[in-house]
Amino acid sequence: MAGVSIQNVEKAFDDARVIHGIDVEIAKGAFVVLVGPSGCGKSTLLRLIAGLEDVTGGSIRIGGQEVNDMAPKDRDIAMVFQNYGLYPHMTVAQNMGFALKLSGVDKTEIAKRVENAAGILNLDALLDRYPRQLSGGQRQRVAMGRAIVRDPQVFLFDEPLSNLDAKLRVQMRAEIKQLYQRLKVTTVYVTHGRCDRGHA
Amino acid sequence: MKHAKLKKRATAWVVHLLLGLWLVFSLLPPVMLLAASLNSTALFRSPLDLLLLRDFTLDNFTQAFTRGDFWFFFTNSLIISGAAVAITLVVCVPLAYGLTKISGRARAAVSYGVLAMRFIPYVVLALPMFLIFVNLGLSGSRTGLLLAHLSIHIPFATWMLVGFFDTVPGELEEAGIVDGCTPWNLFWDVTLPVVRSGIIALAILVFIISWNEYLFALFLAGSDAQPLTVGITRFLGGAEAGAEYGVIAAYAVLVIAPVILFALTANRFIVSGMTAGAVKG
Repeated sequence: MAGVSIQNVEKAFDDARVIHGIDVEIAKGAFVVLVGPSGCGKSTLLRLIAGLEDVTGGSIRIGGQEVNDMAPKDRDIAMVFQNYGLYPHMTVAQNMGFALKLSGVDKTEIAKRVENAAGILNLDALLDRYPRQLSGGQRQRVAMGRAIVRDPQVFLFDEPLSNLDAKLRVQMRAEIKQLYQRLKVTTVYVTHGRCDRGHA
Repeated sequence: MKHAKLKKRATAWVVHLLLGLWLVFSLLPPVMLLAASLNSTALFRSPLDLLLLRDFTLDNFTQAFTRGDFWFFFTNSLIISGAAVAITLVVCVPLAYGLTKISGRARAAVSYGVLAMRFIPYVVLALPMFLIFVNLGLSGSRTGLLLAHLSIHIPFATWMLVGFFDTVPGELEEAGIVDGCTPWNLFWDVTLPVVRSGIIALAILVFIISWNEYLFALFLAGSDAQPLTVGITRFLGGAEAGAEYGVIAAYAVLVIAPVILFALTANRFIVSGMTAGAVKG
């Protein structure tokens, strides 16, 4: 687990400056919610932390180490995407274990960790299914499972509930909260909805 | 209530009737072909006689195999079509994937450049190709004919594949990047499996186009590299012999059969709706 330190970070896409020198200190184990209207740069900030975009200026540190020029996979972060971003040709178990497989963890260890994460998220019965066979809420849980299997320093959530209906949103919000309370991993959570902020 | 039900039923009847007619209309030519190949005198017989196999014989097929050098032409067709599929995929899949990764003008320029090749009717290409191949010593060779086919396939396949790759949501590769994919992993393990069905469909299409190609073969194949489509013409006969329609029909059946087999086999690997469930649809 690590804190995230954002110092004077700027981001411009060609001539369009999106982020003008932001400073944020996120303490180790904190749950930080970024709220704001669409297009205000909150998702961009999250993507900068993830390393999906390069910063134009300033520095980002995760656990004290500057990550500006570090590839996403070396930053030890996990991200949950708005549209789930599940691999459609892989089963739930394969989706969750893919990152571990890529980093060369052996099969029995992968199976163990996937099973463990599946237990936390109530996905045990779904491990052999494909994403197309799951409901929206189940898909989002798999996306979260994929994140926690890796045991990362930081969780990044990019509007994870915006695709769910109102009832499911309440339920998933509670699950994310529970998950956080259980794992106590530093979390950055982006949302445009005020009600998300209120409950999370 | 009863009225509505009756109306619904009548509509269903009409739809099925029209579909039935359409089925007969589309199946009649191949069925007649098969019938003609199994009768000894294909010409001057009524279609009904042919369909009832009044003069049943397998002799046409024997003729096609023996006098027709079937296996020689078949080998040419198979090698050229098979190689065309393999090379087209090896060249176009990475090319199209690369095109979707570059942005703006460069992409438009390359895409249109590739597509512009399709603006030219390929009859026009046959003559200059012939001249070029004569100079290169490629005329009358399988390699030459294969190159000619590729000039048709590569623009077409690239254009189709760019379309397939464009349907893969960007979020999928981003998830892959965060999971630790190298660029190769992103291509091979994340994106390629998603467009697999499209690639198989494309492979079928390329194979069929190559297998049925006639014009280039006529111009460029000489006598050594002739495929089945050219081979069949020897039974059209001269002025004195007349066309042997029964043998031609048998030959045509033999030409069509492998394509149908190939398509049916490949079809099994096409899973529809592969991207379903990847992202919110």
